[in-house]
Amino acid sequence: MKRKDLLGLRDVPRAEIEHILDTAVRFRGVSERRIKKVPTLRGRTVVSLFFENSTRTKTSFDLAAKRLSADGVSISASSSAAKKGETLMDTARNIDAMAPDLVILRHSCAGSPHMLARSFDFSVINAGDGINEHPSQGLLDMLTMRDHLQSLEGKTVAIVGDVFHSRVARSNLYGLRTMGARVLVAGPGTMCRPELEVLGAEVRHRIDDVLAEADVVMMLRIQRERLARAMVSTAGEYADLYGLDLKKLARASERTLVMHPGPINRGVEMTPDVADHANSVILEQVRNGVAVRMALMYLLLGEIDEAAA
Amino acid sequence: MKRLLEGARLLDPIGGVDRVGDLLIEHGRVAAIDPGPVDAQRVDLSGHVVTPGFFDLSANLRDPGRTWLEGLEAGAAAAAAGGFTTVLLNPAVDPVTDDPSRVRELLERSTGLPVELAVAGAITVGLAGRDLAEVGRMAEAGACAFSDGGRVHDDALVLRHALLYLRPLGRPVLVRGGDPTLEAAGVMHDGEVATRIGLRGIPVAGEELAIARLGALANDTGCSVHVTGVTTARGVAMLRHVRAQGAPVSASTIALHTLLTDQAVCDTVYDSATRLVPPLRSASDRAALVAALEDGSLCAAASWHEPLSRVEKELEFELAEPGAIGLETALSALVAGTGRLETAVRALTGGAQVLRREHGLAPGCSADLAVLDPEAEWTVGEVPLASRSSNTPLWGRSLPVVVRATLHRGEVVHGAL
Repeated sequence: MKRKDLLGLRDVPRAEIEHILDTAVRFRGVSERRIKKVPTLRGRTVVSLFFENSTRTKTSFDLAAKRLSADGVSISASSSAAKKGETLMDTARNIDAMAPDLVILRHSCAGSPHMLARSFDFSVINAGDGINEHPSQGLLDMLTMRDHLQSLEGKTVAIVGDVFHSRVARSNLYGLRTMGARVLVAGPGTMCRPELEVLGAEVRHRIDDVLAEADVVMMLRIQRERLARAMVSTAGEYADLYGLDLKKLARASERTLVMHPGPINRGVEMTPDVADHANSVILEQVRNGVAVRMALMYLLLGEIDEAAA
Repeated sequence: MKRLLEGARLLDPIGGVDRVGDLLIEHGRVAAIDPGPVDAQRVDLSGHVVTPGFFDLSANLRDPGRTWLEGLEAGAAAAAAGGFTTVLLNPAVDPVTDDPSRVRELLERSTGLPVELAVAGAITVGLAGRDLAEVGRMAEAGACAFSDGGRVHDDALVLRHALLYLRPLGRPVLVRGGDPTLEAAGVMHDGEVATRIGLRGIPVAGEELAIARLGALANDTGCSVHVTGVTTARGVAMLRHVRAQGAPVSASTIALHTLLTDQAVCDTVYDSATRLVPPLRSASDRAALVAALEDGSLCAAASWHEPLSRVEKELEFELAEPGAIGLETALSALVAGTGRLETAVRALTGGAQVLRREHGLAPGCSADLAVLDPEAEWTVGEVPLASRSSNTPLWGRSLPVVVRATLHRGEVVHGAL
């Protein structure tokens, strides 16, 4: 892979997405062995810099680095200098002085990984920037879909919930459209505005408007703070109109996959029986997450070296 | 000393002058056009354009307060370099210009500078939109206009009382057209680009609402209002509508917004230099601004000069302080944006009418002049700017028209003749 950074899926062409997913499939085996480690990135330094709380994504990146034998350091907002008023650029300058090969950044502001990518020589993976993108999540979602549907071409994926303010949705939309899938989105008017058509989405309203056609239904997490300032009415009404329960799921095809980027608000965007349903592939998403992140680290760091050697 | 500027294109769109001729300057004033044989220092300006000096409606020189970002001296030099001869100081400095002693101090410190710095007093104490500042005393101290700068408020009762109180003072009242709650929720223009690159948007509805409200209150109170910072097509349409209802409302835009659009945020990959309030708008908004400057719906374009340093700008896009410098790029941005020098000059001299000043190339007017080379180009930042700050999305960009010289009261205050 020629790129230095992975900042989003907006500008990643189809062949490259396929290459990343194929590479992830090869790395999946590592996590299934008793000795879950390969020497691929021995001597390379990976710093993960998380300015927002994250358990799943941070653990996934950290395990991916360890399983590739990279030397990894994790910095989270609570232990970082951000609390002392240091700017992101100054934090990055200090990290840069310690010669990292790759920085993984999670930050509440869109464009912050882009700022580091253009200012420093180290590679950057965007692990979520504001409401913009979360490309490794998009890739692991596509890998999970591909495992079940073979190809994404012509398949229909429904994304339900706060699509406008979701970096997961944005990365999925960019990636899925590039791969030839059709994407339906549904959710409250405040979160699913017609403007989303510029991302290639077909904008619907209630979950019932998308279920019948969907090969995959991806439920987004509804954040409690979004109840403020009239964004949505009540958690109860949200569950009624936009949440997924068994009764609604019965209207979909019996093979429709149920996905969720986690963490789930059980009882709001989906009922517990849906989360644990046979069609739910939520934990497969998590499993694929490690493989996709291993593939990204390898492609951004390892492959270049092998070519040079 | 008499000075005869010979052979230039004399261009004063508001005064209805556009022809090649000779301009005689005497005692700091325009003495005559084409005076015939006269004993004077002759300056050959063929190939150049002589226009009235530009008149800015909003520049923040960070003085007092953050003088390291600009200050009155550097700001006045930047203004002169941009062809401006009068600049209305934004009261949003620290401390805010909301008190007669601060008005007096600014006027005293402005004497002897290369351009005239006119002082706008704040309408509300601390620009907070709550308590009325001592506008009467500030008017007596020499404040020539009243404004809360770029700040917008949502208390209609305070605004109504302010307009009723200000009306008998007879000074222009400048209010930016924006809605504080809608602006607080976003960081760039709300539209396709924001949706694509994942930034929260500031909808055009805020400007539309504000202009509707200002129009209604101007009608209700009889107080003329000049709306600053109009940047949207809907804002322009609302402006025409409230004027058709008889509201005494005029309005201006921002030079940079006639050239750049929200696409700049995407093209520069979230460069905080493109973070502005009001934000860069869509391509159709930009086109509407150009049309409105041409048909006179918007009578002026301001520099909206807001100097900032790396401390405020080397940050995540959403956290960076909004603003760009504009005094030295206003003319070129307007020429590049509107495609017409006449439109650009009308937009940059229209501020004089807002402030009710005699201004132009007519005999008797103060010889505040800009001498332009319409064929030359320049690259922003190639030669150090006069401003102490360099926060502009136009950095490194090649732009048309060079200000060869600026004259204030007949004296050359920038460049050379």
